[in-house]
Amino acid sequence: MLRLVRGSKALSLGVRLLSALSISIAGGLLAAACASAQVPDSTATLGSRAPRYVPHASAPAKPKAYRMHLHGGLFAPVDVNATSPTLGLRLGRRIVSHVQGGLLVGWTFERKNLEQPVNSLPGLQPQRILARADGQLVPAMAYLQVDLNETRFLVPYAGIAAGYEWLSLKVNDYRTGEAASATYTNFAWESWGGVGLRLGPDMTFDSELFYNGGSLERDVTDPSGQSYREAVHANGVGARVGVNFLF
Amino acid sequence: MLRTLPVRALSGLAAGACRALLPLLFALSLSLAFRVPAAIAQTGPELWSIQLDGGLLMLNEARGTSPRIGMRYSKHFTSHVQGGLLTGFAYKGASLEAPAAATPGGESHVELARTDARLVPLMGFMQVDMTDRFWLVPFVGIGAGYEWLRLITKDHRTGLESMVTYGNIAWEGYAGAGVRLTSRVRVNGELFYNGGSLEARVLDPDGSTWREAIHVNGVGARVGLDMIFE
Repeated sequence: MLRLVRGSKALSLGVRLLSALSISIAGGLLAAACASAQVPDSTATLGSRAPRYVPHASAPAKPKAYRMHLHGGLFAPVDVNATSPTLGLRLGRRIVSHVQGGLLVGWTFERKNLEQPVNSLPGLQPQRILARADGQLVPAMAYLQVDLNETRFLVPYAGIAAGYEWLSLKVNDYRTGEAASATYTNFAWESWGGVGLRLGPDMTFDSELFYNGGSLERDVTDPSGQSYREAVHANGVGARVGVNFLF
Repeated sequence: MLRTLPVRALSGLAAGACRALLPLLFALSLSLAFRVPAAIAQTGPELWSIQLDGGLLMLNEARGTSPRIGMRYSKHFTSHVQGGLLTGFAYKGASLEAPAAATPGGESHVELARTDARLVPLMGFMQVDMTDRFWLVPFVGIGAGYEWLRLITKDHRTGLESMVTYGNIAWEGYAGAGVRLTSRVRVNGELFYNGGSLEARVLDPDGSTWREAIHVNGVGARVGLDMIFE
């Protein structure tokens, strides 16, 4: 695993750059989304006897520029045997034909309990929770995605993203009452490839495999006063499915 | 959990600035999400669906299957995507028995203890139909929400009885195929997975409070009647 070593200036600059970039893209997307909502509904005059679904021939000729991808799936870090559920969102804009770019966020959650059985009665068995550890991984990245076609039923695609990632760990030992938490952060990246099934002109159902790469770190001072840096490797693979809307 | 590795100290990180990004991105996501319904507005009459289903659920941590009934109520956002609420009811009973002493052949049993569990989910869900043209409609869906489990135990040997309600956030995923009977009615057959770890705070006889969990992860199969109306 490669670990980046940076000075404080480089880190702060990177963080500021990422912040500025994100704010700019967010502002642009928001303004454009507000503007696009002003387009009148071309089907508002359809009566109740209209066909169940009207083909999108009446849609404006201008291609829809924005994409929203909502997805869910499973993520398996390489360093631990803990397949975790993950949810995510990609908001993007078509840059040129077949290419889109935007922002993605996600949330991956993993919980481990130390348990012991309560009784020996038949059926569902309650477990007493003796200790618990929760981990939450949140990426916020800018991405680029290439769709290999824009009209066919099957839409292969691939994408890459880079940005920042946060990992929050919380541990509770209910036997002793002790609790601890830590947050690890760093630059990270993600890539994915998959296939979409075109459900309509403005929608695909996507299935994809992805890889998340990052070494998230934090500063620690031990009881002797010496400072260390701790790292958690968030490298892992996952699979997810989602719906991609154009608007 | 994740392994931590100590490495040499580097300079401080502007974590506060980074954390500020998250609410911004979240706000952006929400603002755009609210625009999406306008963007994918109905291109026909508003359609709703109700599905009534029944089937079996097999929990990983309990032997045997449990009967289950359920309902999904949803709005069609497009010809392929619908979203709404689902609920259901599953029952799991189990007893500890011993052969009655006076019965030759052991055909009669005495119940020593009994556990009844009732599981009720209430979730929001989203479903994608892969086609709106063919008579066979493959579909997938996912739901997330809350789930409650009421566990009633009776131990006839000790006379102890208890009733505890466990609850927590849970999720459900399903996939199946529907056979169109008419343009508005179809029969769906599907496999589903229920995932959750339901919890309750319980009081010990010695007065201390503990957290207990029941894992309700399991797979099931169900058949339902899906009806579309305006």
